[in-house]
Amino acid sequence: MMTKLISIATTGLFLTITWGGLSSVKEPTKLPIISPQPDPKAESIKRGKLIYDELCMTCHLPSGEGVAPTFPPLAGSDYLMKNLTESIRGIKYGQKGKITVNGKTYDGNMPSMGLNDKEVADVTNYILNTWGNTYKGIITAQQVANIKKQ
Amino acid sequence: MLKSLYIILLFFLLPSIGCTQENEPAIATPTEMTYTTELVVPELEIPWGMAFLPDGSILVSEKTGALLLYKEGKKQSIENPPAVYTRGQGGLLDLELHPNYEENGWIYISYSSPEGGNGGHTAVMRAKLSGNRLTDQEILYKGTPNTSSGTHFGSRMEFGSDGLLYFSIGDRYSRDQNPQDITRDGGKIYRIHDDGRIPTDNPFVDEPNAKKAVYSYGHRNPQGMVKHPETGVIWVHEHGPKGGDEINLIQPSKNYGWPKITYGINYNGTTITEDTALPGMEQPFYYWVPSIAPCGMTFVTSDKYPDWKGSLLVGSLVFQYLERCVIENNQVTKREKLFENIGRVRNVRQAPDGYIYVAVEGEGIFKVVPKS
Ligand code: HEC
Repeated sequence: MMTKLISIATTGLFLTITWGGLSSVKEPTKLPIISPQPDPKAESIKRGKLIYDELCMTCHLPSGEGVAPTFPPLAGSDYLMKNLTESIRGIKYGQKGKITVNGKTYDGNMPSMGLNDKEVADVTNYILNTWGNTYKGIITAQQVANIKKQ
Repeated sequence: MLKSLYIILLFFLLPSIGCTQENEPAIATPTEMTYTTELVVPELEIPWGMAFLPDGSILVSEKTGALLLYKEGKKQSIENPPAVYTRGQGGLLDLELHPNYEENGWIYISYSSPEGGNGGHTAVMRAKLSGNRLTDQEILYKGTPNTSSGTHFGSRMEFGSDGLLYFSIGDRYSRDQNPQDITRDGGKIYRIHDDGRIPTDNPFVDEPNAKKAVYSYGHRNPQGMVKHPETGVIWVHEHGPKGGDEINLIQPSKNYGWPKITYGINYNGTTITEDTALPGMEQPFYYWVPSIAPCGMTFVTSDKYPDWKGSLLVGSLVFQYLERCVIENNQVTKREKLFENIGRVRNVRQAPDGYIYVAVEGEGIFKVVPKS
């Protein structure tokens, strides 16, 4: 183990020496503001991504691919698209028990994330419109508020 | 010429490849299992802390905020638990009894506290149990400033051989602000007296602006803490990013490197740092690649498990098993997965009765017993 650590350390040193000189810090280019009117759906998706990265990514992974057989995928999930109310209820209150996602059975436990209705709507809009997923409408906080625990 | 170039290239490339592969020793399934599990406390959601009271009852904290007493086969709800910030990983977290609990009745509770508004931060309180109420609550430490982040509260606690209380606070998802800055809370192991006073020999008491309770820093999200039964050293494990979960042996004032050094990478596959070692930063005792998402840990010291005596047990949230690490000559020499598919293991402790108890999300608390 020790020798491995040393060799890893050497690689690190090698990389810093060879690449250190090249890494100049670039000023981020500022994008011009195109539309003065913010699109509510786009804004919701943007907030949703932050929530996703903070709270969902550890299980469902950055590209929504999940980890079979434990964490179901969100990217291309038929369950999500066909059972939108159930999915939102799961994000809001937690989801436990047998479900089938893209032909595979999952029998796990997703804890409640303690999000408010607006946050649930935002993260739902994000997962519904990312990684190739598309959803025509927009999920609102009011819709989430109407979904109750069963 | 070409061949020697190859060899040189290989020399530099191989170790970095090794870094993304499973770290040794590879985990194995035991060929023979002499123990099995028995569900003793059913129907729990996210059982975070477990404390074993002298009368044989078990005090359990649920992340949701509920405090439960399991006594003579019945679950009883304890009134008046602290208010908690339940976003994401936040909630009612660890439980620990005072070493002289029988005389003074102090129970230590860690939780994500919303006090002060605008989110939450990890806090530690002590309190007493009278009947089915939590009384005499005293807040001993509260991290600041609150943020809305629902991640990385840390919050495991353990009493050291010095009679002082050690606890962890995770980096609160602010890895570039907190772990390397001893004037800020988060990404630290802390040490306080049983009543919250700062020990006068804490390593940073003389540093201007430092958080005086800090004992070590450069941590990410430590959710396992146990005192070594022989050396008395505080052992901590912490969640790394993708890859790079670590076991660290805590020494005062030391910097454990996060996020300057790590064996892990970002969840999206990008690099956090090229460095796995830097001067002035501690190497882990052991690191897991891939991440097992460790939670809870205990040493097996009782006579109930002759096959496992001396091993370190660690819960795995992501792989849903209990991991047994055999430690010889100051190294992890063997790893085994126990009770595969038991569920997300949140905590594991050896109780005063000598038995190992395992808390599993969505299930409850299991007792590990010899197969009959
Ligand atoms: C601790 C791991 C974990 C986290 C964190 C988590 N999930 Fe889940 N999720 C699961 C598991 C496990 C299931 C399947 C539950 C079952 O089997 O009933 C699931 C199911 C789902 C489903 C329905 C099944 C599917 O694949 O379409 C959706 C939608 C979902 N999660 C979205 C989210 C969102 C959004 C977040 C963040 C706010 C999140 N999850 C955070 C573990 C997690």
